Amino acid sequence: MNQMPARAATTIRRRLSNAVHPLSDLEAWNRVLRRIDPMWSLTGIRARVVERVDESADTLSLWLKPNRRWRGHSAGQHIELSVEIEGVRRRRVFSLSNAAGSNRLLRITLQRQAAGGVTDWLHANARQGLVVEISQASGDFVLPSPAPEPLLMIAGGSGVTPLLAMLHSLADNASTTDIRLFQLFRQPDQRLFAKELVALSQRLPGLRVHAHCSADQGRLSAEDIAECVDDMALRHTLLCGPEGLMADVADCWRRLGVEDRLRTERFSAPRPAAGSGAASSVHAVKSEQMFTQAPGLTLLESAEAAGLQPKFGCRAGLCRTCLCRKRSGRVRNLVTGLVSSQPDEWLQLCISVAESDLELSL
Amino acid sequence: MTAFSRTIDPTSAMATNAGSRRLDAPDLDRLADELDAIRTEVTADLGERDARHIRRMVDRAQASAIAGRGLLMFGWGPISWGVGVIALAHAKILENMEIGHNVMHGQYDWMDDPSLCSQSYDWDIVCAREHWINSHNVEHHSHTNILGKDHDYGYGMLRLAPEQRWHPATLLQPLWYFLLAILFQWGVAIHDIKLGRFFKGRMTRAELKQRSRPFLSKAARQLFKDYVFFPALAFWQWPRVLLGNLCANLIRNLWTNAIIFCGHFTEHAQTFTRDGTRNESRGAWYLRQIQGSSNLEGGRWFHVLSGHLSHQIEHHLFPDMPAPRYAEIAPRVREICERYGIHYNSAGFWRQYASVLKRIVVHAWPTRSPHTAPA
Repeated sequence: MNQMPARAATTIRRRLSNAVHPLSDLEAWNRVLRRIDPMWSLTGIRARVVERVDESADTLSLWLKPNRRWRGHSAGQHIELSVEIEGVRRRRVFSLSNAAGSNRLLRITLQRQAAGGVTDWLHANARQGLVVEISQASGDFVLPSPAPEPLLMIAGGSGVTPLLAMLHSLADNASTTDIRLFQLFRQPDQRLFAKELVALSQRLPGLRVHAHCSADQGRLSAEDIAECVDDMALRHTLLCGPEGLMADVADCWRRLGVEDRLRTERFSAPRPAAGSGAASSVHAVKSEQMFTQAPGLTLLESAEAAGLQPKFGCRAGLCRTCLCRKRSGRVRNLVTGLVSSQPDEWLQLCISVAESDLELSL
Repeated sequence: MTAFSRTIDPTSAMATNAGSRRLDAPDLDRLADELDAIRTEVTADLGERDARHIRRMVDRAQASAIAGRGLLMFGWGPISWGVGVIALAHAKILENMEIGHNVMHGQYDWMDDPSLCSQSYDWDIVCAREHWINSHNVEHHSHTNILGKDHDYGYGMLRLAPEQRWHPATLLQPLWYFLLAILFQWGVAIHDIKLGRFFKGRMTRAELKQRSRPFLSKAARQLFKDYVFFPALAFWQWPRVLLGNLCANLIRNLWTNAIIFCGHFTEHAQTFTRDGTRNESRGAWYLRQIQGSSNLEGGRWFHVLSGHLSHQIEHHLFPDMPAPRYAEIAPRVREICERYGIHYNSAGFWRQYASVLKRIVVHAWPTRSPHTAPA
């Protein structure tokens, strides 16, 4: 019903914008505005680092103050942050670790990763006053609504960040929900937010935190967690952590028959199983190139290995920057496990593997 | 049929090949390896200074456009008008040559900046981006100077080599060239529609309509901008703005035309035949790019205003390398050419341009190739 007027409005807007070009060139205005104040932009969200907190040797938190284009977030959601490193724009997704407050401040916590990447660059360069570009918050890893039932939170390493945001949000609402948080980390000095969790326990009467250091206490399996929790069937599970832990818990919960009460947030794309299936040949139509997708590589990695430069963002199936039209062939999504076999479907290169020979609009 | 047809005279098989010694296949492979090594080295070194350069150019073009349009709209008297015209022409030249042409080659795609991406950039000229990418990036850059395949060779209206067929109307080609030079952006814009095919009955009217669509919409936008919208914004000063925009476009046309004609039509720039280039190796492709192109010598500002097409040879070897790098690698390319005995065609602007004009005048007459001339 609404589609026709909406389309007409878009056409009119485009015509108008074309007519008054270059006055309608937002990028050109942005360049002028940026000279006056780096926070000003007509299109993007720019955020200033207002505080840097070093949480541990390789982890730091940044408090960001976004400009007025920021539309707020729900606890548990993530943003994509982009910075320019050696002339190249690089993006990475970070969970927000604070509740959606009224002071419009955002906190991200980042662990130093591979050299040359965004986290490494921020560790070296983030200080008060640095201005970065961020996206609006997105993601459906949020607290169940309406009002939460008893919760079970499982956090591996820096996967604690979105869960921390949820705890802050619950505390702000004076929630009395029963919450069990399992915080898993490798080395004793890698435990994040110990003090903050103590403070949160005082505000949340129902919160019980189990800190588990695998170097000292050995690996904690999903079964171990399930055994510790007696009312598993009642609890809603929120899980965020490294791939191994996620797979382990998902598996165990499936066996217990409670997988429909499990919500997860991925930080990294699931790996395609090495050696599974045969190599598929991919025809990149736009660039007129053929490349082979070897078993164990995603389509994005295979395309890059062949010298193509598809756009990408998070490389974890979140941001959809690498969205690409598939003309024909069968593709499996590693996150959802869904197989796309119809012609002309969209796929995310970073989390897709070919199951047959393909034709991509690349 | 008309002076606009440019077909190959089948009687002349060989293209000019003067000034270089013959290279055999292993030589060409080594040549390719040496040139590839330069590319690899530069690609690995791309970084902040390249990003800084293109952003500085974008800022400079924008500031110059604002100043130029501002002076034309709000200025008073002939001096501000003249300065306004020059500033606007400078902005258009910089935008077309150093920014638009180079960005659309994908020279800055590695930055992953959406405003500098070859897939979306559109420039301040009547030529539609999709037409340009096909006729320039695809056809001209792969088939450089192959008669009958590189439609940029003579732009379908000029006879620049004896192998091209002569027609009595070719006698008027200095006049055609003059018209092309002052209307150059329009020549470039309709180039990829391939009107010649339509006139020869090799394209249906429907296909012509389809092919013209991007051009018509782009042309309408550009005409509206320069000759309706900005004059109207100036109220009673509109004649000043309209005339100023016309002059700025004219200056840009003359400059870009002169630079571009010096790229492949100078005295020693060679031509090639379809047969001679069938199944050519990568080394032979490189060799053709060098032999078919010519460089211009000048200062830094000259290179920037030419969009670094003054380094046409380096540009044709590595079309997607950020242009300021051409100046840096030029001495090495030249040294390689000397070692392989390949003529490196480089001279000052006036000398090269004079040789282009000479070629246009000489081949207006029914010249014959030295290879086919009876002994």
